Amino acid sequence: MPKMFPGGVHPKDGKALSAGSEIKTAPLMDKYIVPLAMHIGAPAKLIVREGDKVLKGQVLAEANGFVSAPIHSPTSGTVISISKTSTTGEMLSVNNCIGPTGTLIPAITIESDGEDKACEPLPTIDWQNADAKTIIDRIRETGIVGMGGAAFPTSVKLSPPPEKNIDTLILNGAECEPYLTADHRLMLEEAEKIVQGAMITAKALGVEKIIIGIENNKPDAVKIMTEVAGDRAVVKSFPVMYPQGAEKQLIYACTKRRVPKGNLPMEAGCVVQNVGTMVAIYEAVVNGIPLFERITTITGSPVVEPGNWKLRVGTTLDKVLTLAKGVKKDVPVGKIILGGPMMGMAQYSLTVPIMKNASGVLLLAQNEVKQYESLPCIRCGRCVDVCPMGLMPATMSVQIEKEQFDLAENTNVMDCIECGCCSYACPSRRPLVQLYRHAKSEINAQRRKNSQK
Amino acid sequence: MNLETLMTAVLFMAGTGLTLGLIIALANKFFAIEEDPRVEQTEDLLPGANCGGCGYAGCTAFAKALVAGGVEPSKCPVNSEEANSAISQLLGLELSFSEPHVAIIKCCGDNVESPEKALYNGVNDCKSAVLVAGATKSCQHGCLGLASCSRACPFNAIEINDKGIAIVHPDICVGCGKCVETCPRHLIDLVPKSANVHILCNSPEKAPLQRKACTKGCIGCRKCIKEAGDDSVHMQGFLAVLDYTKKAPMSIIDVCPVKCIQPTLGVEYVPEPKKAAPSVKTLPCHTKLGIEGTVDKAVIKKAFAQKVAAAKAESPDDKEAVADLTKAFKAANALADKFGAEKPAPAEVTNA
Repeated sequence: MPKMFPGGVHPKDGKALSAGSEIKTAPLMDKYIVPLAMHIGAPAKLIVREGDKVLKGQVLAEANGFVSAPIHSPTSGTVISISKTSTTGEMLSVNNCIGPTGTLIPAITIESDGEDKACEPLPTIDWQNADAKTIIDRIRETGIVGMGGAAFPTSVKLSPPPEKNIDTLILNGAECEPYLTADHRLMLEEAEKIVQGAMITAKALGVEKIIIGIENNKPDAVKIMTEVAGDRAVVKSFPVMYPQGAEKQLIYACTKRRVPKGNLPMEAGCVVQNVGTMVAIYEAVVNGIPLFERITTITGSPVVEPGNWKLRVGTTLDKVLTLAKGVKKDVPVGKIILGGPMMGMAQYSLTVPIMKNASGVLLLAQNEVKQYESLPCIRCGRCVDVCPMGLMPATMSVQIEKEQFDLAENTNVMDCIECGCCSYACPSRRPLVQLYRHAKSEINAQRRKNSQK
Repeated sequence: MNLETLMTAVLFMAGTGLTLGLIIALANKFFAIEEDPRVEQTEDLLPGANCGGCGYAGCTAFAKALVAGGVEPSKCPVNSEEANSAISQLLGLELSFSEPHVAIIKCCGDNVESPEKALYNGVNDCKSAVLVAGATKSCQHGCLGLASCSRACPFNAIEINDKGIAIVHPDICVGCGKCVETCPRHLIDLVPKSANVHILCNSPEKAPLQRKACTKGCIGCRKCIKEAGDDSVHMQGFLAVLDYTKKAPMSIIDVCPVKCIQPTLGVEYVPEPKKAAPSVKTLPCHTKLGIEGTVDKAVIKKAFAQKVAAAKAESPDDKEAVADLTKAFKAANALADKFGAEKPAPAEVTNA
């Protein structure tokens, strides 16, 4: 089968470690550290106080603005600490937690009472006869965010401006990130919920056409999804190529439409949702259960028992590793990554909690990682060959090193999707993606400054 | 080649040259832009470093603003007083002085005091490091030492020392403030150049967590506030902060238990000799021990040991004498506690 998009790489996929293991539900933990910013946008606003008794599914913090999402309690118990800042507004390490990016983020700590008593679920919505607003409001109040990794509030994605002509809902089951098998297992085990969730989402968007995109290294998932979907959705399988699951690449593969530069997928008439989000939407609309747990792959060669676990948000990494029976004695761990090896973040602390977008916890052995010294660019052009967005990574990286952010902006650094293909291909081991992130933050800061003037 | 051809060429070239010269001369006359000559003169008096510390795009822009009025020459942080007064004379302005400022980096927790908690192998830039991993220093608020400020400094006044921490050299720094914005942890402040003592910590954490992250972080003990006496030092949460508008005494350096209060780089601070211990009246308990009234516990202990030894040598069974001496010893010690703040160092006691 031909390639579905320009560029791309073939990293070692490592999915065999956990692909065969069924989803297991994690036991109740004694403590959950629930961050208040598990989504893109404003952190949620606290509505509980220290010492309050909460029930499973109870709202701990409510959405603070349009692009925000509420946070729900993962279990019943007592709020033992709430987020605190210093008098000057700086985050303190007490009562907050280290987030996946290594910086302190506001958090609440809940001590479990062991009863795991759920609060009254929200009433079931008869979604087939409900209007779009009812469904989207439910998705907003249950705190559903994109579970593929970006954690963008789903309700925002489902409320496009009325003048945009959306005709296709694309479900992302590509799971192109190596090692991760959470979506794969979900498609095998919860196929009906995924399709139902997709029907609900399609209803909310008012679209007829549903396409489920799956990479063809998961033939069992393609088979099951095709059987379950029937005539309700079209299942398309694509050749294996990283980053097949990136939004713009998936839209092109499914519909042959291109998202215009600097725009959102709705310009191409598409909305892309992760399959995990579909299950969350199904649970929220049909069963009235808010989002506080997700499927996470725990894998890597040092892990004793790699597998896929249903984890509640706020479970810290040390407990996650205990679930996987720890690490092998003879394999020294080199790195712990939250997410996949291409786009995930290396962690230095085991107190980092699982958030709504944690698709995997990956451990790499010491012989699998290496500390490189970054060398000057030799203009070999491999990064240009592999860039799925058709950018010129080499040129941009040199511009950014010279702090010429305006030039980098003209070279379209803002279109970078941070997939990591260029860094993967670079023979000089240049920290390319990191440079682009730096440039993006500088350019955004400059734009904010200009708009204030 | 004959002479005629040669002359034609020479005359033609001369004619072309004259015509073009005339055009240039006319263009210069009719299209001339009148510029205030004072702008150039003023610019000559400015340092020409184009650092932007004045808030204008460069020295030329600042010179134009000066000539246009409404700006004082002292806005330039680099210029000397003589040059400023020359500019004032030239432009007929009233001379004003503003206190020169220097940048200070409010962190002294180098990689010995606050070691790296993870290996960072990426772009050597503080802002980049903070973006990808929150940076790897134990202290969440400290200097990362990846030299973003140092690269931004047009005067090369910021050095990253061998322990991985940025240091501003106050004699080179002109206080242009270019470095202030580059620090992702907001550690850089502009302070008056005359200030000779600084609190080199910016961590708002409580003491126990602060101690875990850095051995030189401010623990909020308030000793410096007591020592300063006035409000030149105040607490901001758990962090002591200097008010640079009031001059804090240098003695606060001595009292800081974590040594995060330090003198300006290059300023020698000699601690004042300790005040002589106050004496107390000679009381019966002292007489009994055979000493003058003192608050020196070492002296009391020595006298007590001697007296007890003497009493024992005289009559080994006389327990009452020893009990009396012990009573006197305790009373003298209590007095010493009450009146003498200075406690003898442990070494002295063991020697005695």
